[in-house]
Amino acid sequence: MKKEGWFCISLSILLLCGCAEPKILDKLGLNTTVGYDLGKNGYILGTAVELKIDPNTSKDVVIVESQSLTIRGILTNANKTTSRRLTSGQLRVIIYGEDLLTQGKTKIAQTLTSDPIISDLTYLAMTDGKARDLLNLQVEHIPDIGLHIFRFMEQNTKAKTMPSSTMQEVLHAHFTVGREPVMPIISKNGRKGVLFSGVAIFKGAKLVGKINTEQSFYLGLINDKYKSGSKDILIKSDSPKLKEGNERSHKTVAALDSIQSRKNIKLINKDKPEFNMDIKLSARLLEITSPIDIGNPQNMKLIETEIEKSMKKNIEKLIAYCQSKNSDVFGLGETYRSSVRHSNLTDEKWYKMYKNAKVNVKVDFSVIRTGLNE
Amino acid sequence: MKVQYQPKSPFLLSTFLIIFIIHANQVGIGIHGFQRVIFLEAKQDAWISVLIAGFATHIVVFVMIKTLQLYGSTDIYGIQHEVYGKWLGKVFSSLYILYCLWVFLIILKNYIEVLQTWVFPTVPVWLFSFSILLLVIYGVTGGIRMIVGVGFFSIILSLWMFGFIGYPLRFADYDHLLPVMESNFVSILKGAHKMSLTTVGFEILYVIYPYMEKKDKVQKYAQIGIAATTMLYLILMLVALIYFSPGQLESTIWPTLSLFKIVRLPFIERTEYVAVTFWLLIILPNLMLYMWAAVRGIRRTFGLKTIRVLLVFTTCIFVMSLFINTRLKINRFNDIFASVAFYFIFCYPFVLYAFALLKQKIKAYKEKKK
Repeated sequence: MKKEGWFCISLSILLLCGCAEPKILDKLGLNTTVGYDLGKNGYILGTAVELKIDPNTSKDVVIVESQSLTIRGILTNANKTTSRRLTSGQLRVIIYGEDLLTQGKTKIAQTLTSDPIISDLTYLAMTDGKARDLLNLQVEHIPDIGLHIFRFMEQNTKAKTMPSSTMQEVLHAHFTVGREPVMPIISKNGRKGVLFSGVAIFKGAKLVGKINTEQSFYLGLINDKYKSGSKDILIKSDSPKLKEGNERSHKTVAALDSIQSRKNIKLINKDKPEFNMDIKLSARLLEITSPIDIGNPQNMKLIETEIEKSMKKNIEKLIAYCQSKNSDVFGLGETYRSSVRHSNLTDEKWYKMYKNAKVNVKVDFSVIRTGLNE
Repeated sequence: MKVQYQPKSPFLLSTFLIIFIIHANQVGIGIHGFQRVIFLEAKQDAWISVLIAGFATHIVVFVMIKTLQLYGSTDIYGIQHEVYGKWLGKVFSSLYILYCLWVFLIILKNYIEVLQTWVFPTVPVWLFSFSILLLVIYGVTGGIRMIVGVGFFSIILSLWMFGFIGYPLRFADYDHLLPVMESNFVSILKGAHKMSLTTVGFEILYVIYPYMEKKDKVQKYAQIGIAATTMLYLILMLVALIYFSPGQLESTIWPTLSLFKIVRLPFIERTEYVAVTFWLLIILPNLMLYMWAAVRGIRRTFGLKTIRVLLVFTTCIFVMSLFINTRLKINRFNDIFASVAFYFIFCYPFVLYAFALLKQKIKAYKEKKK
């Protein structure tokens, strides 16, 4: 009898499972993408793409808007307009309106990380203009704008066309002394869809400048390791061999593919910050718009040095631009801090030094193969 | 009460199991968030603090076993009875029992806090502590062999978690570790001191020692167990240092669990939810071992019946777990415990060893005189 009693008690404990809050898919609205804009009187305007699992309706994506003074409040207020409880467990992309970031100190990502329901792999992006307009984009071939932006960012990040900007990476850079975060800019491509139009660079949490997609490739070279990637490089050379382009245009352009790169940044002068930046890359040369004989080793050498020159120039331009905006997106400050003992580097100190830091760029490029033809 | 205690042979445990007992009892709740606490003191040299704390643990364990070996087959209750005499011995043994219950409460409370923050924000405390305590009662009534079995399987079954360490390494920034030894030695030592809440657990040796089959091999296996734990802590510390930036690490309460946030498997997108709930299996042997040690202490010192004591203890713990309910209270509770544990676990064994040696010398001297 005693044993049976214990057995019954143990079984009844299973009933306690009901104490946890159930989350039934049919009764939830999943936020897949959220956009934040600056509203009036310091309010934040939130726009959420809500995905409904409902077999009865043909359209399962709804755009929900609400305003609040806090980030959490946006979700709470948005619930007032929906029939399903909104949850953020499937949040994939967060889009900031430009005006919010120009103000700086949004702390949105920071606030969101303290909520365990939100994944650290959520992508962050900025948009020209209002995030609300981007999410309200109605195009026939994009039934779910939220999922579309997510897939679009995922694809481009993997191919390294776009700098990777998951919440972890942005916050990581933001909280590192001597490194600033970057975010891709996603804008409306007329009425046709979305477009990766550039990279936003920050000083602290404040948007200070934008670079175009062309320069974004060089930013990737400095910050990241390329394992695959492709790029057209414009060559401006005095050599007669590379002079003429083709009938169409008179520019010499080399198309590179399967780019692999490595970088090495070293501090060589402590007192007046000076860095050596060595970038090594190799690639497949698939196309060149000049009738040069690429089978000839000498010609190949020429192409390589010309490409090196062109890249070096572009990298120097990029560094000079970021220095003029006082935004250290390359993490030079972090290199400085890690090589100088007791530097006690703070952001303020580094902003002063960074402006006048000297960077010696060296690019080492080699063609590994030229495809099927020589 | 007898000083010597020799369990019957079916209750003896294979000596190598002490590796699992020590490792299982050390790894528990402290591992969730030790990185941040150490980092606040020692900055990027926090991993050195972990090594120093590990080294100190080796020494303490060495002394503990030396003390136990002075008496052959006994536990701390027997030794204290012998060294301090009948009344003072009882006082010290009661303190030790209180300590075990305190650790028990700390583990239980911190785990419930983690569960409530990460997975079930609305489920009440009483439900968690009630169901966990039932499991503990089940384990402790099952006896030491069963508890050790739970410890063994908790390690074997949670090995898969270790495989996920590769995910955060994709986002690693090794520059965070440089320059090495930038913090001064005092802050590194302070960091090592803060490790005490995380490294405690090996003191279970004091109670479980008589159950070991070959007493002369205990030293070797116990040291292996400690080394395994230190390695684990070192790896987790290094990963946290390179994965988080300093600013992030300062504000992350549970870095180890946050590391899981980056793991995305094709069939489970959010592994941290699995990890947090699975952690019950990791803390279960801790809870059982501490409860068993406390109950065992009462039985040895006061000769009371196990089952009644067990029920009284679990009821007390249950009631107390309801009152420590906010993050602030838990933090305060942890801080007080950490400072007490440091003296009780890292300093007291040396004192006890000194007294035990002295006592033996006096005894030998007296016998000689006779």
